[in-house]
Amino acid sequence: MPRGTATLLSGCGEDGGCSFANAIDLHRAARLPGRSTHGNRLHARFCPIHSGHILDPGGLSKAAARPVRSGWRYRANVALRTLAGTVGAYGVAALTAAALARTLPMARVEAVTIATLIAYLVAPAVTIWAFLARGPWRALAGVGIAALLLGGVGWIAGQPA
Amino acid sequence: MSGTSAMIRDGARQAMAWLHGWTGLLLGHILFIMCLAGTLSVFRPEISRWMRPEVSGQSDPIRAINAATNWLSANTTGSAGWYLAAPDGRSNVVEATYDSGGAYFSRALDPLSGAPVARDTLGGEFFYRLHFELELPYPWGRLLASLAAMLMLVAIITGIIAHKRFFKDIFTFRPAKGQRSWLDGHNALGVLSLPFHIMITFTGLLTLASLNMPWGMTAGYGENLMALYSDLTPGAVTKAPTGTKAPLAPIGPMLAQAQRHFAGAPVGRVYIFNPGDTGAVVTVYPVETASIGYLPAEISFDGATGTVLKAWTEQRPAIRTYQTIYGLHMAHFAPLLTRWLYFLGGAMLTLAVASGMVLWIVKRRERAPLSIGNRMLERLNVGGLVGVPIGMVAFLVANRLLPLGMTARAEAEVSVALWSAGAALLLGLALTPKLGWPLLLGLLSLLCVLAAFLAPIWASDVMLVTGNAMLMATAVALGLLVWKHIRRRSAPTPVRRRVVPA
Repeated sequence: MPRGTATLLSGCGEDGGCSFANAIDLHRAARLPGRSTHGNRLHARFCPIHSGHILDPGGLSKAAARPVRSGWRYRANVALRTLAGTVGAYGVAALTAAALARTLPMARVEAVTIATLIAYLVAPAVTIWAFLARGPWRALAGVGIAALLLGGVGWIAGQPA
Repeated sequence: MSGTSAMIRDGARQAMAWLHGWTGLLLGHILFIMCLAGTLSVFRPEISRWMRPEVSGQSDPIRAINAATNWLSANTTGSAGWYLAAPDGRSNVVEATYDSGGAYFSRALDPLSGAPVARDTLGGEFFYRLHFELELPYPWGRLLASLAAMLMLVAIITGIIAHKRFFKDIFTFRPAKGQRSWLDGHNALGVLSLPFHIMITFTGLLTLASLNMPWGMTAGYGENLMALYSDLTPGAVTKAPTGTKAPLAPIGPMLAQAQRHFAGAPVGRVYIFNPGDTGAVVTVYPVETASIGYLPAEISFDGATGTVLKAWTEQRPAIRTYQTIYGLHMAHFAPLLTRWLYFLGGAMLTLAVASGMVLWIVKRRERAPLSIGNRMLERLNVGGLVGVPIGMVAFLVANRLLPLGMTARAEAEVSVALWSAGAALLLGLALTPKLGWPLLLGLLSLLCVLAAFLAPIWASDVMLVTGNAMLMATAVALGLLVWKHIRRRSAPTPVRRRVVPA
């Protein structure tokens, strides 16, 4: 195998190699114009393996073969999910702690302790969900609804005496 | 949507791999500092002993605390509190934090004389504080550490989801194959002690709960956080100073009674509030090696009379759970073998973080020329990943070289550590990575040798010998790494080969 081919194939080997015979030609066609990013983009578009390596949790692209890791739609998608997964996740965790601290049927200090422990499990779960939800708006809405519900529970329960 | 079903299978894994990369990268260097300093903190008392080789006296906790309080009574004025940790077989001094005349001090007190030891140093405490305060002022260091820990928790979980083959990874390492080797190494480091990684991250976050997740507390207690603290430790008593002077009652009988209250477990922490005042309170906690649960009992005495004010043994399941989680992180309960396992787990996590940062670059370098941001990151990796340990070992070297009588000696040691790390960081940024890696790693290796040989290497103290041996082992490992790096550079770059079926 010529050395160039091997280098091209090593593009994004998270798992397994290129099992398509024609992939080599596509790799070569895509990358040979030079080591420029332009060549790389072509590579990403045409390579049957690497075109699948796209972050498309929101189903933004209709055609799976097109790379979507660029452009304002992709950036907005990531930005909104990041908002939901950081501020949103922390908010939901904090409100979980607050709601449980006020509602768990045990002594106040014990309820506070258990509520705080549980909050730490909620935070990463929400973060991950924000990046798995079907769309960025759905992620934001889910986080918002959860926050409203938990906040409501905590508010109605009131501070224990 | 057409992409939905694909998303559930491959898209999800892709998204998680993406999230894993970014959450790991964002505060990766901070995480590296935390993991490395935390790993070393497992041996905090042992490092302190290595750094105070002159202390040879041995004393039981009660006699040591007695000596310490005698010295403090004679040498402090207007203290609000003395916070003492008794020697426990691992630590051989009384670790004291106290205020006198408006200034705060943190000193190791000799177990026999009660006076500060000659070699003024933070010892292992430096690594412990660095681990969660990052040498930043309160509360910013702890908040940054909390944020980094949250990112790490997400990175660990997404790393698991992004994974395909769990058990295969434990046994997979294909060396000298560029990105593939880094990925194999990163995976093996992450997977091999995964339960430890999850445990230590989760429990670490919880140790700073009052700072990073106070919302349950404020929801339950509002502004009245003092009520929360007294509910958490019912055996601790707070009293305002009365202004009337009264000498501290003999502390020996109080400590003996405390030990009986702890069912025979030796006393560990002794907090003395308003010493020299009729409002003095002595609160005693058992030694932390007695159980996994952190500080599971306490007893408070009237400092002026020596009578018991309150005693408490923790039985509440929720609080016991929290104390156990806390104790799991602190690892004070751990006997020697478990401690080494903590050390090993921590070292693997540190290397997983470091290899992840390197992998970010290697992966992108093999695909296309690096962008300007990634080229900066590549150099930041050199300066950060090697500069931080350089600062740490420089701290050990400074401990041996700075004169004993020097004023603000402990602070000077820390300054040496920070300036060395800063200089190494700049060097890493200035040099090309091809030169920077071997140069800085070689420097680190030499510093380790220096630190080991400046110590009384002939000493019979097992702590000193073990410390020196660890330093030498690190030096040899780093030397081999540098040697391999230089040899590989003269050989042609290895190319990953793949079998493509016809």
